[in-house]
Parts: sequence; C-alpha cells; structure tokens
Amino acid sequence: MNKKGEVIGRETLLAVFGVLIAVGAVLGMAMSAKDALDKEALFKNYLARDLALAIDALYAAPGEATYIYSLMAKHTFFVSVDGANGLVKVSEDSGFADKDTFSYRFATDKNVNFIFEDKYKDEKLPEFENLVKVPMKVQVMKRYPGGKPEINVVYFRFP
Amino acid sequence: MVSLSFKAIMWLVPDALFLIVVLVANTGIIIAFIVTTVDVSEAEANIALERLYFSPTGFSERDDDLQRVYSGKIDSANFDTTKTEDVLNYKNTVMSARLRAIEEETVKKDAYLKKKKYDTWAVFAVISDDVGGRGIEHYPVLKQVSYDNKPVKIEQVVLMPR
Repeated sequence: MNKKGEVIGRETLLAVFGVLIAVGAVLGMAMSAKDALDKEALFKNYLARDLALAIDALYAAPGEATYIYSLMAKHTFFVSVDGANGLVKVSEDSGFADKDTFSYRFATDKNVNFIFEDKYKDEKLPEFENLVKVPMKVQVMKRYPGGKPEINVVYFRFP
Repeated sequence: MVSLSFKAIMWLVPDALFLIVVLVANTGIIIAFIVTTVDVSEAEANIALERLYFSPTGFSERDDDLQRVYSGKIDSANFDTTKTEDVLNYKNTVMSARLRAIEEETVKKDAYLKKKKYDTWAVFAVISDDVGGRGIEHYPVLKQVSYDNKPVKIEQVVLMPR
C-alpha cells in the first residue's frame, strides 16, 4: 500500500512539474514572438525587403510614377537607401551600426540616376526624440528630368 | 497518499530532465519558425526582370520624341546580354537569368544575366529537382511579345540560390 502510494505520488509530481514547465515554455514563446513581431528583427527584415521590392518595381515604370510607403508609428526605425551598392538599410540606430541594421538588395540600372534624400535627418529639429514617434514616409519616384530617367527616394516626416 | 522518499525523488530527476529537454527543443523549433527569414526570391525574380520589358532603358521600342515606351514590342537591337546586365545591375551576383527569344520553335537569340553563373547554376538547378536538394531555385516564365514586329515567345528562366 505504502509502495503504491509512493509510485502514484512520483507520477503526480512529475505531471505537475511538467505542466509548470510547459506553462513557462508557452509564456516564453509568446513573449519571444511578441517581441519579434513588435519591434525587432522580423519587422526590420520585412521593411527592408518590401522597400527593396518597391524600388525594383518603380525601376520598371515606363513613365513617371510615385509610390509612397508609410511606416507605422509604433515602429521607430531609420531608413537609408544606398544607390551605389543597391541596398535598402533599416535600423533602430541612426548611425546604422551593423548589429542593429537589416539590409536588402535591389538592382540598379546603369542608365538611370539614383538619388536618395534623407529629409528627416536633414531637419535636425530639437524635439528629435519625439519626432521619432510620428509616422514616417518613404517616397519612391521615377522621373525623367531632361528626358533622362531618374529614381528619387525621399525619406521624410509626414507633414 | 503521497509520500516521497529520497529514492522516489532520485527517480524523478531523469524524467524531469528529459521533460525539460523536450520542451526546450520544441520551444526552440517554434521560435526558429517565427523568426525565420522571409523568402521573397520568386517575387524578386519576377519584379526585377519586369524592367527589361517596361522600362525605356530595357528591350522595348521607344520613341524619344514622344517619351513613349512600346512595352512588349521588343527591339532586337536592344535584346542582348550587355543591355540585360546594364539594366539589372547588382553589386553581388544574387541571380542569373537566360532570356531566349523563340519564334515557331526556333531559337532566334539568347540574352543572359551573368552567363557564367547561369551555366553553372543551371546544372545544380536540375540536380536539385532530381534529388530533392535545395541548392538553386529556378523561376521560369514564358512571355508573348512582338519581336521585330513578329510574334515571338520569350522564355525567361531566373536562377537564384536558396
């Protein structure tokens, strides 16, 4: 009798222990997923790829075209587009340190000028930290000044 | 009732450790799926090559006076490897492609993006399909165009490492 009670007790304890660990694991996964989806790698990754594909698409425009890409206010990332190397960079660091930056490629065209304007950075307003929290926009334009094709990417604060 | 002896607790240890290992492994696998990279290679292959047919710097005929591009009307003088590589200029080799103009089952002309890479990767793409490997992905598209005012198909095959 005593022996049987001992066996049941061990199994019961193991089950309780298992449930506790499982609850901990589920909570950990949920927090990790929330963290990933909220602000970290996944969004930066998506944003860099999405913008790179948008720029690729605008290169194909046979005439003038403008596309405005809105960034959600709760995400406070900085965007830079490197026309020389064909890279979209997204980072939470305004200095674009490698460890905080996701980048994705796009194809440039040797016959098309590429201009990137960071109007947000140029403003350098005193309430910079607060401005980070307002929606940002990336405008990609294909234009033909003087008949020569040009891709113009402007990163700016929504007026 | 429950009475835990030292011996019973000692029996519990390996079971508990095993449980922890299984749960940690499951958690790791699920997190790896959540934070996985986003594969946009097929969309990228199709979007990037569209400029060859629609952009004024691509294959299509254009009227410089009217600033108009006749999309889908291929000028054979523009359809070559040099033009393809000028229009699709990647810093690193991330894709290669073959564009083959076919008129009534006869190959008229080929244009390549990174021809050497294409020839190498094409072999791996075929092997990947045969043995279920995951080396090179290929994205074939067939386009109906006008080529020097004749109906022609352009067989476009883009190869990209997975």
